[in-house]
Amino acid sequence: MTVRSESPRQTNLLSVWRKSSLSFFSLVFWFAAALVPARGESTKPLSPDQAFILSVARLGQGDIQLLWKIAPRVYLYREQFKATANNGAAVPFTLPKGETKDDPYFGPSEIFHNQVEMLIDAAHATPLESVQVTYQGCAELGICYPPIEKRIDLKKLSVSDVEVAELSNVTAPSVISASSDRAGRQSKDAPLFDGAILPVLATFFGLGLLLAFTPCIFPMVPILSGILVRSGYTSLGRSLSISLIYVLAMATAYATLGVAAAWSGQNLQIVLQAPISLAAIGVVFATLALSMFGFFKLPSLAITSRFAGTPKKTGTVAAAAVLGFGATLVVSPCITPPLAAALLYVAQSGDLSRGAAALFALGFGMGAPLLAFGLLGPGFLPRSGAWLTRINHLFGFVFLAMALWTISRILPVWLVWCAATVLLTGLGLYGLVALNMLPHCGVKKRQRIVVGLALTVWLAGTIALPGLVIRVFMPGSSLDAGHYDQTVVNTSEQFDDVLLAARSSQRLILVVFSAEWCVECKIIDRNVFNTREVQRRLQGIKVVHADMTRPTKDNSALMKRFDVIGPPTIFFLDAKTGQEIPGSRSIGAVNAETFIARVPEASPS
Amino acid sequence: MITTSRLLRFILTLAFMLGATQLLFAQEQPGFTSEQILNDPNDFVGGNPRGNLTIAVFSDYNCPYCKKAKVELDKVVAEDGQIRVVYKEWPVLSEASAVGSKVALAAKYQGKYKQAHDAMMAIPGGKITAQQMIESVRAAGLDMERLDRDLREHDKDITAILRNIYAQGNFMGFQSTPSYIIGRFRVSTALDYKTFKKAIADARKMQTENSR
Repeated sequence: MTVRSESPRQTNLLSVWRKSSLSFFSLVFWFAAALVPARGESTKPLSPDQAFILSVARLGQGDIQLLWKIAPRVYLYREQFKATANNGAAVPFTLPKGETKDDPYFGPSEIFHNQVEMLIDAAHATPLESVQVTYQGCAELGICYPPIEKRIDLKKLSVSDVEVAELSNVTAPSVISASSDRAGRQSKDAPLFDGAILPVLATFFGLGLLLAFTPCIFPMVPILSGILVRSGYTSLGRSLSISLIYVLAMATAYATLGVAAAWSGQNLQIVLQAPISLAAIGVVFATLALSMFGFFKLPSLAITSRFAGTPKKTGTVAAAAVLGFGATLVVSPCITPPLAAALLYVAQSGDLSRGAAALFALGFGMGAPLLAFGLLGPGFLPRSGAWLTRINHLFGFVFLAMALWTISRILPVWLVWCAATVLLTGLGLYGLVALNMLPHCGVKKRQRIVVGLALTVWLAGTIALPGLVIRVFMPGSSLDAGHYDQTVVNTSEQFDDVLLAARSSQRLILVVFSAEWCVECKIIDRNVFNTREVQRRLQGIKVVHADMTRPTKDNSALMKRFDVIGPPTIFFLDAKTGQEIPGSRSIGAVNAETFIARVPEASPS
Repeated sequence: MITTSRLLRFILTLAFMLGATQLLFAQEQPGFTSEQILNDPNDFVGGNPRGNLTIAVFSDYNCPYCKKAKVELDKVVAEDGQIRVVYKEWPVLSEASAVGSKVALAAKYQGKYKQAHDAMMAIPGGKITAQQMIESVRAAGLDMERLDRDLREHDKDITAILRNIYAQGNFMGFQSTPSYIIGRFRVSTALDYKTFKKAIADARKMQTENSR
């Protein structure tokens, strides 16, 4: 019997099939799955819900347990688990450690076979109505499942499907970004870290010393001085040990920044520029200032014990540690260049401790001159008496100024200048009063009043008021406006717009990452961009200021895109290709000559 | 006496009837004919465009199995010489994959789809970032400026193509990567050199049976 001898009815059906075969092919596909001859075994791939069976339970203490039963030879990726609340916020959970899978086609990854249990603890689960979990896995048979999303009703403990969004709407990033010479930069910077650990630490200590003589360290000086004054100069050893604690805290802060950056991929200092942390530090300074004026005594203050002749140790030491650490994180402006160098090293070698040690050495180097200050400072200052009270008061003003400077990043310009005017006028008036309270020393009272008034007028009239007038009432004449073509951007999209617009008309784009709180950026603005020579050189070059003042998702994306650790970072892009011009990048302080030397010759088009 | 051929015909008949029922109950799903899936002018066609057997490859740039299987399939296709390969950009595993697919489709405008696709498929692993994919395409020698322009100017078209392929994958009932249409077979796992050859041979046999 051959194939041809079918019953009439079968032939009939088949002929229908043949005639209409084109339009019904797709329907054949539908069923053809059953015909798959692959592998010679009947391994039809499991559907995702057969491969991973999810159940939910509430445990004794109210913890939520999600249990996946995983089919044989199928596995889930540990790092692909996600849990979110209805409002999109991440819900914390714990997973066991997985097995490590490593093969050339996969790269190393942690996976789960058989089953895996996710725990959401009661504290996180109780306030929520439902949780959405996402998970993803593959089968050793040779397939990968798309991410699967389920909604867990935490009241009924039921699981329901969530339709996974189609990915077609994703926006492709610019493909002409500046990543191509990344490798080149790394190999250039890396030798700094090579070799034995001691030379590396010594190098960073030396770099720190150099940085100490830049404005980077300025904000740290009055803070230490204030602590020393507050402690009352009881002895040289004490003054030195307070300084040492302060400097060690600074160094620890630098190391912490490095470790945090290596772990999170973010420059912690930029994150800390949030209004809340700035306000907190501002409040600390203001509180210190008020205590310096003697309005109240902080519990930890040593002022009382000074008169008793028994210095109180712990309070001041703790204050030195806290202020050294906190002020470095939030106030001190110059972390970018060393952080960039240390992170490159950590990224390349994966050696976190070495990078952290180097940053610690750097911070210690920066603080070393402060030790000298702690050693010598007390010798120049009186030990007791009315003068000391005055100096306490003066440092009160210094702390007020620090508080103002810190919160100036989040206040409107006019308010800052009003406050500065009030502060300086207050300082002048204080001088007036103080002079009049001095014991008789051959100067007539009228002369003292004249000198005091002159001081007031000088401070308020020549410093604060002109600033107030220029900044607030004549905004058009802002001192910052350069005479070149510049645009400020905050997001990657804005950046692309500028890039597209510049492409047709310009050959070079100068990208400047800066921020209001970045002191080095201000110095670069003044010493580089506001010089005639540089402005002449910038003719025909589009300048893009990427503003990093407030930490947002958008501007950190922009930093990632160009591999920028923090402000100030300056480099040139070729407008035609959108690529960074190798060798044009400066991280940290730069002067006009160096900058001009780095302006590339207009690229051949 | 039951022969393979007879069994096949019986199953095809059954499929036809099942399909007809499906049509009645599944109206909301967009329908596709084999013509629409296998001869979509938007897809890149490789191998021998005039070959006698068509293989459609649904793959994702973050699917390690797809990458492994691609090496095997390329070998089979080169040796065979009569296979027409239709490339379906089917990013379902990650957002980065979708960026990769858009880059590949944009590369088509400068005639370099194959270079871009091959470069991205050659990065081993399943956690490839969009940036890594873009770097590999740059290294493959594409005109990146042109690519960027095409990505932006043709984004609507490219997105529409991806949506259409996504719908095709759904229509085929594909639930995982990689998935293939080999002749008239639907294959939902990665194959290797031997199993590809076997599937191809079976598919050819079926084609001749049907055209007889």
